[in-house]
Amino acid sequence: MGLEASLGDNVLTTTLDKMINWARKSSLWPMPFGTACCAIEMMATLSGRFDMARFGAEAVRFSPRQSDLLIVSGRISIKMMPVLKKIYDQMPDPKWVISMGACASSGGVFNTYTLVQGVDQFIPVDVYVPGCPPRPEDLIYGFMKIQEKIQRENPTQVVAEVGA
Amino acid sequence: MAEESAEAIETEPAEEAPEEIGDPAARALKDRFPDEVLEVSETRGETTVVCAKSRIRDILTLLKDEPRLSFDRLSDVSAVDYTSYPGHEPDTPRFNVVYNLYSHPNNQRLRLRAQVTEDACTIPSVTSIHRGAEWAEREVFDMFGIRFDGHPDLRRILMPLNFEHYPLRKDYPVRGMGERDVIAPEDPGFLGNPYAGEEEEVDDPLGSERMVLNLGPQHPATHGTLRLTLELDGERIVRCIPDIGYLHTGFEKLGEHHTYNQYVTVTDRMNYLSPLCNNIAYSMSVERLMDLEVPERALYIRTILWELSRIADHMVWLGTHALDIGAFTVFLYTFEQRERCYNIFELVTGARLTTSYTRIGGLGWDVPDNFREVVLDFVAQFPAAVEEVERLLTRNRIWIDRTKDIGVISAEDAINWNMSGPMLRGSGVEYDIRKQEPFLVYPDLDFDVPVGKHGDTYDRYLVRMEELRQSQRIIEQALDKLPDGPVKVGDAKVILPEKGEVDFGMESLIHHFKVLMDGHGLTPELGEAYVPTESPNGELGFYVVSDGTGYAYRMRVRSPSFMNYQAYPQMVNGHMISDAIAVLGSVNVIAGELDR
Repeated sequence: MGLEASLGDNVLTTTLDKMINWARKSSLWPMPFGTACCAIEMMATLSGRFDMARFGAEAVRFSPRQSDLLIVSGRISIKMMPVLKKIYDQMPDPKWVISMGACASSGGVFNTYTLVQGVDQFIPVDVYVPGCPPRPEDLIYGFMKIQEKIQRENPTQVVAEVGA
Repeated sequence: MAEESAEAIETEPAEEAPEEIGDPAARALKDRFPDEVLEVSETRGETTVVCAKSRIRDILTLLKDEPRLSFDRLSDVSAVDYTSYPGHEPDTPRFNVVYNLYSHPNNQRLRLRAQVTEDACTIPSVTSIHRGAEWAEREVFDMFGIRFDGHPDLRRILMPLNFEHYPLRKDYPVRGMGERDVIAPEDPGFLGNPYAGEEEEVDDPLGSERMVLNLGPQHPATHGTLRLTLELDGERIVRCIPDIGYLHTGFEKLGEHHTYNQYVTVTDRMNYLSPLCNNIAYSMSVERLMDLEVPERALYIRTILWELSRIADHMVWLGTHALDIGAFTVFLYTFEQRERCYNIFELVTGARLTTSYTRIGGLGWDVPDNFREVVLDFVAQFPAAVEEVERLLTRNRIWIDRTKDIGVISAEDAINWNMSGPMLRGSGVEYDIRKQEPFLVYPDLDFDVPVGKHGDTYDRYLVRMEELRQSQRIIEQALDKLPDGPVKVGDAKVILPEKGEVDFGMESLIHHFKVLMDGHGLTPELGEAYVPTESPNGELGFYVVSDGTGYAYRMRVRSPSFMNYQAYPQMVNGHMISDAIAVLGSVNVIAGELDR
């Protein structure tokens, strides 16, 4: 086949870190925490025209225990926040979080009594995707930013530190 | 009547003689309940009766049972806090509970306002007369703290159970009192077992245990934010309690703090499947409040966009409904059609989803020149897409087995539960506001209203599929008849002048300044208005109360999802868990509209 033919009997060298990062970033399993308008655009991103499968993230999992990327898309009310926190806590490490849209990131146009003004007050967020709602292209861009971030990580060092 | 008015003049000479009441229902009420009926007003084609709260049950019973009145549907229950309303005296009752009634046989509406004082903050519940009042009364309790005597289950419905205030009271700030800055450590709304403390009825000789299952709020089939507590006997549902409010956003409170045109933006985000319908429905209410006549071209464009929104909305319903039952392909097909609708919305409004296209008194701007071709292109390919999905589902054995005789609701129950839209028509009630209480330009257009027979999930599916075809017919006709002309009213006190004119004309600059200045531009007179519309899910309407300023005094949204969803337990009881998902899909609950 193609790859072996061009490589012949040669060997590629890389670091273990890069290898792990490449594997992780290329098969993220999103947990879509979709509540409102942004969820509709997230569904559009996952469906035919925009096709998240191009980035290896089409395996959407609604169980937090099977996923490593939390996409918070939509308004989070004070009644919902404990649920979101619980779901974040249930996700196994390593995990990343995208805060999609103005409401999840800052409350958006809804400066009201019931809406959490930014989920980053309660859970850590890796990438904020602006927009109300963001277009599917925006979400894909945010997703690529997560991939870049993963590529910069040093997973073996983390293991060593935790081990020590 | 003549004697009564003479007495009134004698006792209170300063007051004018009461005018003759034209509305037969209001007249009947005045005759039967002379002490309770305090005031009758007929403005803008809407009749409002203000009454005392004590005999509200008798009043509603009379209105429902009297054959020539037969107000069989209680369309909405809400409340208004009149604390800071102009002319409000400290000794007059603080709250009014507002009942919005509709009579199917007579095609008539009537609004009742019952006065409630702050000290005796209770009113008899009317759930024994209209089941559909159940959730609406709970919401009034949640938002205003008015208690309903005799209500079967008076708990908070939108806010968490541990919430302490009543958000829609005028003395509660729009940004809250710090509740949003902390996570409630243990929210009983989420952790509590609703059956705790209740006695188990044991009629099972085998003594098998029942299981309580929590479904949602984070579950793929609950569309993000719905939560059901199911009590199961094996896989059969014995009892179902929906828990809503996980997406409560404070739309109604925000309506009191945004100017009339600003609020258009907020309405986009309420039903995010068909935002244009929200824009238009809201604008129509304020336009009625201000007696504005919108130009015909704007009405036609609104109609076309309304029906395109219906298609886009039904596409998401169809895709997710099929997805939940296990037919993934349909989801991909319908989302492709929705993308095509998005292209049109983006062309016209500049945004895919949050359109904000209408202004009070018309549209933000005219449609682009190629609008006609683009829409015609869409409707030309659309029937084939519908047919493709129909070939996959309508006679599919699995689909029929999963939907037929599932979630049945009779016509009588559907009316009593205050359902509307495809849910009501699926049960065989031919009620479509586009026909019965026409708005926009629907009287000029020819279309059919599909109705079902059995009121099951399958019939609701068929009704919506036929509606897609009818929408396409409407769009084609409206495009043919689309007239030329302006898309905004000519009133410079209402509509912002063109940008170019502002730069070069003194008069336009003054108008621009005045429209945007607080209290100068859009200031409806004191009063209230409600325009019912047929949104993709059913009756959508904004009940707007004006206090004469540039901000609404009260903004009530009568949303179809909220009313349709409350009959859900009745529809699923006795079915299997998997059927609960099928029925949920057919109700098409939009959480943003449900929780507002």
